Amino acid sequence: MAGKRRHPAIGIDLGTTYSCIGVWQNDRVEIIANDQGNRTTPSYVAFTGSRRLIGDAAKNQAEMNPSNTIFDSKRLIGRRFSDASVQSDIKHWPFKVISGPDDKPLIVVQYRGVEHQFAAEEISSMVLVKMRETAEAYLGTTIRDAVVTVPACSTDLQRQATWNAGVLASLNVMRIIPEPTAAALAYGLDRKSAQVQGLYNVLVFDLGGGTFDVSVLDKVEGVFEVLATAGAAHLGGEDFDNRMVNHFVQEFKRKTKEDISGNPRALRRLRTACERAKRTLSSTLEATIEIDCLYEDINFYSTITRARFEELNMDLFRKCIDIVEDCLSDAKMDVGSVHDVVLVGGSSRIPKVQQFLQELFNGKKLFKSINPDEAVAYGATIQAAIMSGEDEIQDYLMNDATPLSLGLATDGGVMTVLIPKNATIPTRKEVVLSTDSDNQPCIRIQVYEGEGAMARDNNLLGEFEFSIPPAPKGVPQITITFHIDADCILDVAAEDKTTGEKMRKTITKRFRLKH
Amino acid sequence: MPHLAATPPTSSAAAVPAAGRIAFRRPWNTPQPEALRLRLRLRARGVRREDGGGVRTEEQEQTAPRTFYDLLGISADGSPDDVRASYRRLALKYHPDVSPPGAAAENTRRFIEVQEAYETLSDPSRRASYDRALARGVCRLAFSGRRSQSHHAYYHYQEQEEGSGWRRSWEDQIAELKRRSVAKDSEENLSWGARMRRRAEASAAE
Repeated sequence: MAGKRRHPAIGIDLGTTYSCIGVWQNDRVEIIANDQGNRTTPSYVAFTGSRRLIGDAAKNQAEMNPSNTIFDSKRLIGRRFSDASVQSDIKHWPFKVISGPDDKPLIVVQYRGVEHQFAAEEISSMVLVKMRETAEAYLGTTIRDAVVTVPACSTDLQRQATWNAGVLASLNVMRIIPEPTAAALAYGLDRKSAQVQGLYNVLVFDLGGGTFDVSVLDKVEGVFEVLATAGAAHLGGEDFDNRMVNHFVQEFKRKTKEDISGNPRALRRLRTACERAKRTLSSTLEATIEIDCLYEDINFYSTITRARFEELNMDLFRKCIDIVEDCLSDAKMDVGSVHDVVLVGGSSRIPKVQQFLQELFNGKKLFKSINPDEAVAYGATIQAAIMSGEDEIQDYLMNDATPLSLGLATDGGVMTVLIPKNATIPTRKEVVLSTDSDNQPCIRIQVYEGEGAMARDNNLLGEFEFSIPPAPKGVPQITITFHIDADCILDVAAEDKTTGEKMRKTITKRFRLKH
Repeated sequence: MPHLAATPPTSSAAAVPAAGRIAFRRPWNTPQPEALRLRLRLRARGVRREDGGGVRTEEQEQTAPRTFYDLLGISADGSPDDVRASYRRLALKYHPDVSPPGAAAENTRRFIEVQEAYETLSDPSRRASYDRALARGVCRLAFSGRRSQSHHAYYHYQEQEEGSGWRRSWEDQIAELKRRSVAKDSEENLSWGARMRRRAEASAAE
């Protein structure tokens, strides 16, 4: 085991809507409360005429300062301005997003009377700074090492940008792990006292504020392995809130003939009320909306029943269940083989969602003993403890998996996969290539990430050219080796057996743990 | 070539091409210390793996796994559950996340080997193909020729990157192999799998 560090390592759930932080202390995970006493902190940053606010303070003043209060930076991180999802999101945000160099989205705010432009990872790094300072205040010592989580369906660019955000926040990011993986670790440790011999199949249902992830994992001899992952990048509590907001915008219009859909301040106040009502509806059958002076001195009072809320969102709930079924299919597993269903994320508390899940799993009791809002941070903290060599945790290991397939562009631009999606890492795979024309002077190695059958539909990670001596087509034998280490760093090597010539390139450069 | 004269006379004829390859990679002009001679034999075995055959001394048999079954520490008729449980136990031992920093590189390589053995033996059709190849004697080794070649490529890069660090790592591996050989003998020649099962039973009894 690695020697213990001088400083404790922490786990951070960097969520789309809320973030959470844990530390391994007294042989268990402690979730740390922030300066407001809350165990989750809004992923919000606000800029005012005099100062910058992060977390609860930022969210609490959002209604008064909508165009300079930034949330959802996780939806921009690692993406391009021209992405369809970014263009769709921009329409819903009260703050301004423009296209920067290399199609990078930049957030525009007024700060101390001057216009500033921030990249998404800069905003996320501010949230991470808040989390780090929260931990440091609690522990009374400096924090450096952290495990940070990302959605399971994140691309390599998104993971890289999240890593960059950690560096900007003065963190040494030991590992980026998928949220469902973290939740499974939390589940596994919580059930240690009831540990069973042999095979144990777990389905993690992670429905958060912004994203939806499903993973099927198995656990044998304390080692978790990801069998399949599925999800939707835009499915979560915010989408349910949007349906309610739209519903009440229409109701307000019917009652007053006024359309508030173009009024950012009114929408923000309405959204806040809807989010509160949604939470209430998880435990009661009816909730009220009361907003004074919502629009031009017009008050707005209304109610919504749980049944109506469910009706508004029924198609989204069913979509969640469809994705669960897809994931089970990918894992080649039927519902009867799953021993436990673990609920993660605040929106997994929605009664209709739980009902659908229970029906799918033939009435099986859902696992809820860990607070769903904290499970991801809990698991990230366990991973941090594992990597720090904590003694009490040495019987556990998470075998991580590649989120997307990795391969090469070959004849006619076809994607040839060397490392398939969900392959356990670290791993090494190789393939032998040849030329398709006589006396070809070199082979171009283009490395892609993604599930499309054609390389151009996937994400180009890097490329290089490998020179070879002239020969008739089909004669050269070039071995291409992909090696992914435990930190998801991909090395690509090319070797010509006939000449002994070798070439190698590290495709993804990450910040490494400094020993 | 002068260094061929230094080859022990007991080497089989098959060693001659191996010596040639070794000369190509690293000319030696002086008699080799014990550790380097042992390394010579280990590397020679790697070369022979490319040929898919060759005679082995008893010592060579004891110092490295010969099949995926040996690597996972199970018998050739081990059940799929045995394959999976053994793989997970070895993952707990070799995964870089649970390795001391100094051993992470070596353990990562072992983890990848264990992973490949698991992938092959846990897929019924691939296992059947592998078993048929073993039965024909054309593939007694743990890894295919291509994998063996990849090994060489890997060592080459390690050598370039780490210099003497690579040598130290290699010598550590030799020491580990010797230690395992001794430990194996001391438990009345029990197979690796039998030892693991005995330890598991002892743990269960506690």
